[in-house]
Amino acid sequence: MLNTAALLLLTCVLTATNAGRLADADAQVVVWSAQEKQRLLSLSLSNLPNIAEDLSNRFQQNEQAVVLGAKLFFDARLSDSGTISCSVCHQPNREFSDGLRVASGVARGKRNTPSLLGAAHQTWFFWDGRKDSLWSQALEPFEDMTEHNLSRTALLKIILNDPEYRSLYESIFSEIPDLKELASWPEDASPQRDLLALKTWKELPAKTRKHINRAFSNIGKSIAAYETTLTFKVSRFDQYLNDLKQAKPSAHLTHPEVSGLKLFIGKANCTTCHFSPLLSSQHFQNIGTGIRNKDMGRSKVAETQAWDIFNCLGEYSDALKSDCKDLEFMSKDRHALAGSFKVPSLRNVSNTAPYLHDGRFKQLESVVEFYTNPPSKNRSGNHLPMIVLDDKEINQLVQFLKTL
Amino acid sequence: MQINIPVATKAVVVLCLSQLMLACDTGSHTDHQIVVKKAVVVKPWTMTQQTDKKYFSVKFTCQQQPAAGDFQVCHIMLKRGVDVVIDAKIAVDGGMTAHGHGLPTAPKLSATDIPGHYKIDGLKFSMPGEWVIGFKVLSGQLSDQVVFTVLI
Repeated sequence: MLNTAALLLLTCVLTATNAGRLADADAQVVVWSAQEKQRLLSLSLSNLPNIAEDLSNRFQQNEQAVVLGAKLFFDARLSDSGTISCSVCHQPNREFSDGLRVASGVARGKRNTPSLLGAAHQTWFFWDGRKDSLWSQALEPFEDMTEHNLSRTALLKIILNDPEYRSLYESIFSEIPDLKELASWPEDASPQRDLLALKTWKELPAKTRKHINRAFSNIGKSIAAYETTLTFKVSRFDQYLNDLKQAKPSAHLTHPEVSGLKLFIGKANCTTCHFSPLLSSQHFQNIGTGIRNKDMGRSKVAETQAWDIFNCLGEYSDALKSDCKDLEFMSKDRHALAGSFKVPSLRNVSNTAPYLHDGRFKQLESVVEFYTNPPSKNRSGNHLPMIVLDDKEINQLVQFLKTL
Repeated sequence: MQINIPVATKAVVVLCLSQLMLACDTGSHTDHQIVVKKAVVVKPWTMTQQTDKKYFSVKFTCQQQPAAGDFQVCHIMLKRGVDVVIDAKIAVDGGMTAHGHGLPTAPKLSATDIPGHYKIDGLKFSMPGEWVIGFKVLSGQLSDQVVFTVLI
């Protein structure tokens, strides 16, 4: 009896002492249904394999390729101005994005720079998905006249005339153009730049063009090998999910953040597109952000992508045809795809502002408000369901997004 | 009584049995208790409908409950009355009515060695929700279509 009274007293004392903290803790108790719990756990980073194998790049996990790729990634000599490396737009201290509205290389670009963290897990690359592998994506900025602005031959001459690069390249790839062949290549030949570079490119024998393309693709594969090492960090959200999985109370999310999470998987419909551990469907959706006669996203590239010599089915890919199902069965209907852009991952989203394909929003609040009041379906043909959130809910959702 | 199980279904059954056996292998025991882990059995998912003009019946089967994300392993079995229909030309399309968009991929059908059996390659669903999948069938002079509603 005495023991029972003492226990009750102790309980009262503890309750009084920790009143504030317990009240806060009570507020964090959210009971998830079995279905909600299943949906939540499907979002955990722990479900993501460490390596997303790219069968079109057999050098993806080659250690020397990682070393070469890292050096190339940070080398500003690989640009027309000598000032632009991949890392100028993909900055390590900004989750490998740049904090700008649109990318800025040797000139101002058109679209916002996405983060590279976890990029190897993606199916499509660039906002319009015009590339189907990380290595083929890595090639395009070199020749883009607003990014590195180098011709294909100029790039390869810089890299393969550098003794350190040449030595690394030789340690990875079986065929290396000898110095005599390298010297015989024109200074500026490329199928992707100005008319003069294109004319010079077309005048080259087919065999030479193939040699150049092979070396060019190897550069992309090396950079992709390095980029494959750029993995997501475990977020507070993941830590919360780990606790949830073990049925442990969690202090990793605050009450408003948990309320935001409830909205994220429920009323706000976010997980309709932002699902799986990537928090992205890896498909294309029209959310009403396309601008006619300026940028309608996927519709402009889907047909031509099938003929890209650097795609999964191309001769520079290491994949079998059966490994290229995404490319083989991709939708190419330009009308259906008008205004569609890739669904981006929401991981690290608070560190990758500005947002959307053209970086039109600086704040997450603005993005969420956009979803609650998108352009009319008649005008934009957007695919969005009606999302109704009040100010408090918008705030909770934004607070949650910052935990990703 | 003989139960006729199509070869593809047999394959699924064998796969499921294999998984069941693998799952059983993971069971372990201690000195005090026997722990048998719950076996995960993947059940085939199927729906059967008549085409609009009742010319054909279409049995739409997937290896498991269709889900958003990866390519789905599905096929259809096409019959006219009790007879299987071979050499039909079949087109597939679909989308989400509520969202106003189509399928994320362009799937294709092709006949297999099993009479009346057509496999569907390249079918994906890009999000959870209610989808419609339509098959347009042309066999000889007969043309008809059927639309399935599938909840992902």
